[in-house]
Amino acid sequence: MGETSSITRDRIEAVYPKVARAIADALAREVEECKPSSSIIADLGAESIDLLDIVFRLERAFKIKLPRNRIVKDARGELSEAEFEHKGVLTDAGRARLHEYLSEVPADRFPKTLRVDDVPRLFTVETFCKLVARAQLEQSSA
Amino acid sequence: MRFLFVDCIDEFEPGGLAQGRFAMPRDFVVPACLIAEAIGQLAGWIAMERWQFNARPVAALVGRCVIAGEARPGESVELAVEMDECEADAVSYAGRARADGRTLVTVERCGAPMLPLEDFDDREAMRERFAALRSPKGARVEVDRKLAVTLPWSEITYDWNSAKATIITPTERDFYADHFPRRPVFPATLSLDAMIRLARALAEHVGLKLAATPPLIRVSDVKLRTFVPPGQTLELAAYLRARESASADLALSATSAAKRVATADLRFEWN
Repeated sequence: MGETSSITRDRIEAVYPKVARAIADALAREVEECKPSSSIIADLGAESIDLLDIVFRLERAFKIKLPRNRIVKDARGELSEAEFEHKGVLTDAGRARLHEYLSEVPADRFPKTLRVDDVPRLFTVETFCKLVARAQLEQSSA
Repeated sequence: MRFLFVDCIDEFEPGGLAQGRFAMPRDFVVPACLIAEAIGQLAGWIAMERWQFNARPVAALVGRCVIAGEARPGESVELAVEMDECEADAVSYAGRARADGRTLVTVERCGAPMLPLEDFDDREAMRERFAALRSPKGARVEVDRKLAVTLPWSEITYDWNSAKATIITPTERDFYADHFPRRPVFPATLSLDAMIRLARALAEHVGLKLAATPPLIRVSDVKLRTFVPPGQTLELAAYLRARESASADLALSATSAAKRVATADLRFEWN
């Protein structure tokens, strides 16, 4: 699995079994199909309502709060909205920042033109592991 | 017809909880799924008020729904909802409906995305209705709730432990006057009601004695995947997964043009 600056590999691996279980339940899949690198939409067939279902299941499983637009907001970091996206399409800077943030997603899955609305198409099982691990970290330090 | 199932809101905590009521018709028993609809509509008022009627929730997920009984004709059904989350983009909540001290329906882990209200409803009309619901008199309207469940059914076909049937969603505009004025959508709770009716038919077909003792019905992991427009053909399916001496588990689905529209798990429990 990939690393992020604040989320260690150990933390990601610690939450992975429960994350995979929640995703498998939401998508009526076998848990073995939910590998860390599996694309939630392309490989596991999730639709937009499934993403909401997954988030609710993770919140209950880990007793955390996961704001739905969290990934895009966190990826944007200190970039202004105008620097990050223009008319719903990520700028070059925004795309680079998102790629850095979603380090677990292979480069060839990032299209040249990426709409903000299509960012969830990039999510993998590991993306949700990182989301959970980050929320846990914030909750414990709050 | 009207598809409104909250007549008044007695208690209201912005973004948090509400208690309300609706009156059962005197000559007809409203199916339990429409009592669940009433709970969802009460949650909808909390969410819409919280976000200044700019967005509304549209039903999508029900983690668990227990149908313990039916209201009697003419009874006043008491509704209560507590929001777990009431965010700008999604809500989740739990709720219950009771009548004369009996619990009829409980729902837990319900979730819905918040969508732009004006895509579905007139904002000012919704504001006005909410104000009326909160007024001492309430906003009772003449509702023909019977029409809401008069759906044309195809013949049910059985194959071993499964059953299939087809319904065609109504096209009459009146049917969608409230659901929704600007974007007619066949109510998901009616799809669910149709699926439960098919499950009952299958259970009886395989010899379960549902009619003798009304069972407790537990519906879980309901997922409503897409809007169903007027005039759409829905293929319903029920599959008996397991049966024990006092329970039976079924998987339910509704598809249209080979695309899954709704899925749910159902358990009948009886004494």
